[in-house]
Amino acid sequence: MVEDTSHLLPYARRKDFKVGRAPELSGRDRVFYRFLEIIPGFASWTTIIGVLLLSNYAPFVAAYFIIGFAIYWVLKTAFLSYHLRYNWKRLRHHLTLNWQQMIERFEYGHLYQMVILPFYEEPEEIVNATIESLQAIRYDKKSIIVVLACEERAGEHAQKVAQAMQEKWGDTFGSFLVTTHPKDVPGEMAGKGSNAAYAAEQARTKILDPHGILYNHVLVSIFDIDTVLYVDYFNCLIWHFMTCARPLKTSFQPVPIFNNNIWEAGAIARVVAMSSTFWEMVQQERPERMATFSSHSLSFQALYEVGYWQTNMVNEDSRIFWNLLMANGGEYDVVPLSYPVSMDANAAPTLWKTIKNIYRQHRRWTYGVENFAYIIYHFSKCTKIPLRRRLMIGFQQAEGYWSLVTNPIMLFILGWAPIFLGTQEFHQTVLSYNLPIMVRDLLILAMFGLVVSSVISLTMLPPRPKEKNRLLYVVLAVQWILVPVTMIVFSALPGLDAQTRLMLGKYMGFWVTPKSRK
Amino acid sequence: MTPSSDMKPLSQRKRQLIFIMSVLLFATAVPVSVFYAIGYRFDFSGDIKSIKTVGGMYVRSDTPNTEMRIDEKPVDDMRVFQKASYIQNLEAGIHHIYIQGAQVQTWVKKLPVYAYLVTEVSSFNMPTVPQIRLITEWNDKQTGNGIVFDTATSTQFAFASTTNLLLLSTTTATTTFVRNAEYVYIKSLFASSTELKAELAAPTQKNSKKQFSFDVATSSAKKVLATSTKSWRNFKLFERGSGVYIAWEGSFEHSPYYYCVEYKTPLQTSAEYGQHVYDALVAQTASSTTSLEDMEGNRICRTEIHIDNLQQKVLWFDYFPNSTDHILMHLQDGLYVVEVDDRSWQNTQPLYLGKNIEVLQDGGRIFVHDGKYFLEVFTELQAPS
Repeated sequence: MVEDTSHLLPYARRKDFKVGRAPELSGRDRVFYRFLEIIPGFASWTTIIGVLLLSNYAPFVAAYFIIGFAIYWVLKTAFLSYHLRYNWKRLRHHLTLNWQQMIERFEYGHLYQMVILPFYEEPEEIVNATIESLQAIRYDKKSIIVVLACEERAGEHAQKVAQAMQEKWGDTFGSFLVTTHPKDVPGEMAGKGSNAAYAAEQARTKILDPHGILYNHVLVSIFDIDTVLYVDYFNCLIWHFMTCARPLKTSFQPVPIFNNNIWEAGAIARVVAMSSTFWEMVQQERPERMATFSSHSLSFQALYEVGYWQTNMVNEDSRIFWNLLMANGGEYDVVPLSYPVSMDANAAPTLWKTIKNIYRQHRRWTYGVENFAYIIYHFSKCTKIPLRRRLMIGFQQAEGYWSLVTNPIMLFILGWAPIFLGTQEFHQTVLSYNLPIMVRDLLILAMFGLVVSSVISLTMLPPRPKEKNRLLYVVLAVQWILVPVTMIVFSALPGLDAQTRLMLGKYMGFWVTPKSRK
Repeated sequence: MTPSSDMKPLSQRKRQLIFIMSVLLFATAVPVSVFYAIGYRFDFSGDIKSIKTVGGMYVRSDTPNTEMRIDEKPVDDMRVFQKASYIQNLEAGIHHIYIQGAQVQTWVKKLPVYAYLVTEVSSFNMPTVPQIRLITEWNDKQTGNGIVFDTATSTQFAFASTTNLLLLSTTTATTTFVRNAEYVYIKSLFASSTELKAELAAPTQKNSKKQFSFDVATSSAKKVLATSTKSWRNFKLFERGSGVYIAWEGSFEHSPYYYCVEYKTPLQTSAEYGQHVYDALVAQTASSTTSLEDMEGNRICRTEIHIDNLQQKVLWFDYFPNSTDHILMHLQDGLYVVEVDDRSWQNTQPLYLGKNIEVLQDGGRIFVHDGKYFLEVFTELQAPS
């Protein structure tokens, strides 16, 4: 049967539009794509090994490089802290706004909010909490279409949870659709993308088409199943949708705050969760570098025109943006909402399990490096996008993936390499003695950025449960000294792991982060 | 009142401005920092502002609570590490360095400092009053304290500081005492040491005029090759002629700093490191058994250094416990610690003085047999008992 692709944008009709990995291509394209998959890992390993070799054979050059790099790090920290502080002010300001009042001037009654909630084996209370927050939202519930997307492979438990949710919340919203994504569909990777894409198509055929709802009148929000919404999310979304330059060619990105279970999580889980939130907050102030991440919203029309989320790769949440950017010839944006959604910190019952789960989750996130090959590959084909923009994005992406892996390792480990590996001639110099002193002083200076993080994190905490001691606030403030460790263990190492797998062609599958709340 | 307008993201202009400022700051900070790290400093002291070059000194010291002075001024501009200090911003030239403290001997050295380079040195400060522990043959059954069969020990060891509690006994009846196993062990060590010395002394006396006797009860890690040679951690401590030498047997790249000198001219080398260092360099150049190695630049490394014996007969020698930087030398008038580093001079500090003593080292501990007493001698100040 020939698939109908007439609704897709011309560029999205290409056979290689939704390429997931090199083996899906053939000929020169395959070779080129494979080459692009190798580049990030190769660049990171070359840098790390290069610094080691330089430290051994040209310690003076390595020392100059390390001093320069430490200064770069201090300035980068200050630069990012400035962005973070600004976004924090903006986010707090946005939480005080009466968005409902602000959107009164717009005619938005024709717009529907479709909420897709893919889930796997998460317990009922987590699914229920998310839908409960949706029910508590300040928005006309009858304009909300809830699509609870379960997986056939999750078995009876998922079906029971979905059934219970439908019975409980079915009448609260305009529509409540439960979909079950069939397992083992050829060409698909088991994961969130394939489930969400299936759910969106089901919603189209079962709700939108029968009711004659226009696709450009539907805003789709895809939320992880642990997402708890703030009451004005949809009002804030409508305001941005109505005021942005090209609403149907825009994705809207909230700030994911991983704090649902923050009081129950351990120090490592808290620091890692907050660091992820802060990174997204920094990105909100530089939208030209943004791609969608985790929970996000966009028009159904845009989604339909590219055939929904990709079903054959891991990080569909960011890939959908790149799909849309390519299909629209570069005429597609991400608008930061600077409005939060709450999610769970990755916390397991034991410390070791938490460490393992965070590592695996971050390895999945950093496997977003697979987008690099996709972006560069399509930039070579999609010449409609201005060259300057392609170069800028290409550089930003390459630098991002490279620095994610190499910066923490170079700063906290390789910074001392010339002292241990350098020649005798180097060891007798003032430079050799000054190097560790300078690097240490610069890192301490950079640590002031952590003070900003610490203060901001305290203001973003949910109310303290009665059973938790007040002294925990002190721990929450001091825990940021763990950052050098978490940067290496939960950023650089999983990043290097992910890049190495991609480089060697050992492609990763989707790993579902276990969710549990006490 | 509730605010009614959203807050715009950071403007592109503001971000660009911050970015450009950061780039400018980076472009300024990197060369300044690199030049500073190499050893350049702004000199604001004179009428003419200029840039000067500096070197540094890295001083290792195991003795706590000591004061460091350079050119008779206390050092305040230094980075203190666990057991070392890094003194920065020293101008090129000869500097006198003093490490002194209460109840310890003063260590003094004159060393050259060169621009961009760090001069390494390792100091040591032995106690001014010998720190000893008397090992008695008998201990009190109840308290475990050592028993001395004498009317008073105060006169016997007035020159030293004992760290153990002793009981004086005027009677030699031992029914309330218990025999000290350590005493038995130490006594046996000295006995075997004497027997071996006697055995080993015979061929030595036949073959040469050597007047040394050597301890063989060294720690197992040290390899005793012959009566006069002790190898440890790539070092070889040996006698030749009437002198004791320590040779570096590792690679030249890893030569200890005191084996190497910055060689420019004979005059300058003699002035900076001492005539004896220059003479040693010349001798090793001419020697067929020892060699010199040119390192990069003007650095020349010797392979052996003579250990100062204060013009006395050497009765015994060994490595200082856990160190190859210092040597224990049993001379005619007592036991000394001598540093290997002979740049300018070798500091020599008495550890336990006495003309009729025997010395040995066992498991990193130093024991002395003085008359009828066996003692452990400590190299650090001990808390009073």
